[in-house]
Amino acid sequence: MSLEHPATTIERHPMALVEEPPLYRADLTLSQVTRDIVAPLDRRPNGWWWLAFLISVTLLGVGAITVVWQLRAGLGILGLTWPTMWGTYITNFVFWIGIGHAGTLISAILFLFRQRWRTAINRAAEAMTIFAVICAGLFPLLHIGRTLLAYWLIPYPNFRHLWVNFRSPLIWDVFAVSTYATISLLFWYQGMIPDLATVRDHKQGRIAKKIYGIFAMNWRGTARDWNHYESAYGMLAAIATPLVLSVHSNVSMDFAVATAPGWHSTIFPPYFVAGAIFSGFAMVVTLMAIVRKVYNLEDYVTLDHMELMCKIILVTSLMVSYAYATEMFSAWYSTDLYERNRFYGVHFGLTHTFFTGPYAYAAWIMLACNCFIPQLFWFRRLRRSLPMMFLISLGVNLGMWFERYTIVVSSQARQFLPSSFGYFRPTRFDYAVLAGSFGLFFTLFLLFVRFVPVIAVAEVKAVLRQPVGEPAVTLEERHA
Amino acid sequence: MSSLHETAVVKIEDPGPARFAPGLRRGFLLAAVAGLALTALGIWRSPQEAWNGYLVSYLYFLILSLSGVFLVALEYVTGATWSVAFRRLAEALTRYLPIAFLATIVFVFGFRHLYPWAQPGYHFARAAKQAWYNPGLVSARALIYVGLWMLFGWLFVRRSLRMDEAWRRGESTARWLPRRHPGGFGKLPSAAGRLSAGFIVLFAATFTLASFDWVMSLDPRWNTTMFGVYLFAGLFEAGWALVLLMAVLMRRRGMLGGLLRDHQYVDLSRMLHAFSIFMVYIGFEQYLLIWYANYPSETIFYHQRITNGWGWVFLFLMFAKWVFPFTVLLNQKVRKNERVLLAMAWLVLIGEWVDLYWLVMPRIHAHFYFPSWITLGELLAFLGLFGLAVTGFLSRHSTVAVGDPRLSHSVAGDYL
Repeated sequence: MSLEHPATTIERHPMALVEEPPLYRADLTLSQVTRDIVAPLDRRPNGWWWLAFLISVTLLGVGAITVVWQLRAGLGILGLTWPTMWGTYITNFVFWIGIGHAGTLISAILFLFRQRWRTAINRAAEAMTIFAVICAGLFPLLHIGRTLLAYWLIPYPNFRHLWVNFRSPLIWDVFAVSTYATISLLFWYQGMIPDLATVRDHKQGRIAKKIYGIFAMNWRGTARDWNHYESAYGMLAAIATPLVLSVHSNVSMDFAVATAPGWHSTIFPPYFVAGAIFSGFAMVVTLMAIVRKVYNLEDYVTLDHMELMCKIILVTSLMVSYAYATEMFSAWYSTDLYERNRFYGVHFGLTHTFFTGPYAYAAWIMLACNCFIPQLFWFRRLRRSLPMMFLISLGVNLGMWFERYTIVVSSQARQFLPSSFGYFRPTRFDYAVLAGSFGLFFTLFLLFVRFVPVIAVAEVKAVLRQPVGEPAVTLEERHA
Repeated sequence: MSSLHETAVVKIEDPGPARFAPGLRRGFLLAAVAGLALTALGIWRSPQEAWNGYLVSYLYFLILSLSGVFLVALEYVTGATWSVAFRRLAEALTRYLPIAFLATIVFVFGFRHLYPWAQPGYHFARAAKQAWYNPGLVSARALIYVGLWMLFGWLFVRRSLRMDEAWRRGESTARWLPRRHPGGFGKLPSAAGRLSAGFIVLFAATFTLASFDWVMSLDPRWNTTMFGVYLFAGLFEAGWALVLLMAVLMRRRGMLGGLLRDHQYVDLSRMLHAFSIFMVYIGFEQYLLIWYANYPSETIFYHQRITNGWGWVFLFLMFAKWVFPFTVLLNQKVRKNERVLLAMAWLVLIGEWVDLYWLVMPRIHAHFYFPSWITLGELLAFLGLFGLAVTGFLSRHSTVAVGDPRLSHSVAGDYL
């Protein structure tokens, strides 16, 4: 010890000790947790569930019929027309992939950052990820037109020595999205195994017991089980972390590698990732605001959890705004005429700027919902108001859809020469398929809340007592 | 998630100010004096070379100092506990900012040797951009940016030192912390949390504009939207490396009073690891998109920097800033090994300087050019000044933020 002054020992002032606020109500017991979360699975669904399910399935049906129609009639029934050959299908693809990002962020990155509050929302967010990726994956398959030949996207040795174009980001997407779907599914399922065992043990009916038992893979909750479980979980989290960045970076490159004004921008990859997390969290807030109410889970998904998610929405909103601002500033700064004109210019006498042209409505919805309105979350009162966060998160979802619409459609419609200008107008088939994807998403989500515990029971138990300084819950107790 | 609650109450002993070996401070002083002399000589003999070198080292130490402000702000805004044990080290870094402010005033005089737009007779195609790059306006902007950063750094450090004093007087310092909300379990943001949030928003804007002004406009016709993020990624990575370096060097010499534990090493190296990935992600995406679009007006930037010997520097950067930190720190066991940590931290810190050198120099040296005596002299000068500022602060104040009520939790690892 080479200290100039002798070390002065001062007992820590007892008043100064800070206690982390507990995540959950102090009087929750372990068995109470199981009862509260598993109970809805035993009850018959109420009228609201049936109503929601009916609406979702109807939408899904409309979408399915439209898709069949499109497969028979061809892509021409959509608004696709030269020069805008990527329309709402690609917009929807990017939109849904983005929605999926909250799940991976919560399950992987927040796990590595030891954010204990994630336990209340990770299950639902991961489920949402899977369903969103399913919705997303459908769109490129439909968009390629000859959907039955979609397997040509997969590189495999073949007699004609034909290979996919490995230098195309569209092919990178195939790998990125399928990896993402696989890892997300494994992650979700693995996290669910202890809870499926809990449900198995609680179910009365023989068939239900059997089915949950099969999916629980003979989980016994022994120390050995937990040991393997936790090391696998940690590894999956580490694998999933780069996926949070890579998938949407890849998606962004579908645009950014092209030379169209408004697409070629190096900030696209991190900007898309931030936007994805932004929209994903907005969707989680929208859904959890309803689920916690309907299923009486206010003790588990507390207002604090909701507030933290609103903070993440605020942070990512700022990141997205930063990207917009950089793009707009760079367009001004740039020496590129077309880039500049996209935002500010009068192009060969035709006014078509971002802010005033034919797509200005989309641009203003995007700016209002993604940049301006989420700033309300700077105020704590609004961050903790459920109606407010519900509305704002809905707005963010809308704004993020229009952001993708602006990027995908308006850049193609306004390229270099006035002779190749066009205007994309979605047809009713475009709307029907979009509605159908929402139908698919909500149908799957409603089935999920019906058959699987929406909250990770075992994980909630693990952090139940910790912050108040009692001994941690033992492995065996988690399964009580 | 192991529980360490049995050890939650840690007896905090004030480690007091650091007593550095007298040779160290003298060495920094000597470096500063000799470096300044070389700088002056260089500016006299070969102004263009000298001002480009000045930009590299000026920016390098400004970035390191700013990383301190950013890490402190990040702790406050996220309410982090783990970083309390080494926050003072990040605070020490901010103490170089006043010197950086003076260096900015000097830097303004080099504009016409550095930037094409500052040369008489240079014309942009557009009047607006001509006005934006009016040397007077750029100078004013530069001083405002650095002044703002300095102000925030000063506010953060003042708060921390006040807590120390209150603690020494035996007062409760809880009032500096986020308060519990009466209506729920949540916390109200502390004043510092709000200040930090404001700083981070302001910092994103000012740092991006500064990076455009100071580095990107070396070639006024070249631009990339990622550039601000690229320099920020370097700042963040180098910031973790520098704090880790200081933590290891000072803990080894017993200057941190045993308050910095192994779990802080593990987490610091984890952050270094994570942000080395972030760095390569940003760098790679920027490269890939420019390469792929293949616009000559954009590829010229990389072409200058990967041909004629500069390509080896590019490779070195990739290894120093990503390949080695990534592969070595992937191993959980080495994250407590001080020698490995030191090696990785040095590598990243050297990499960051080389990165700036690689960004600036190829413009005046088409072929790879080993840093000249002028450039090295400037590095020496700034290193000396930076070292004096940082060690000066640490030898006047406790090396650990003893007044922070969360310190015992940080030391005990309650956040684990």
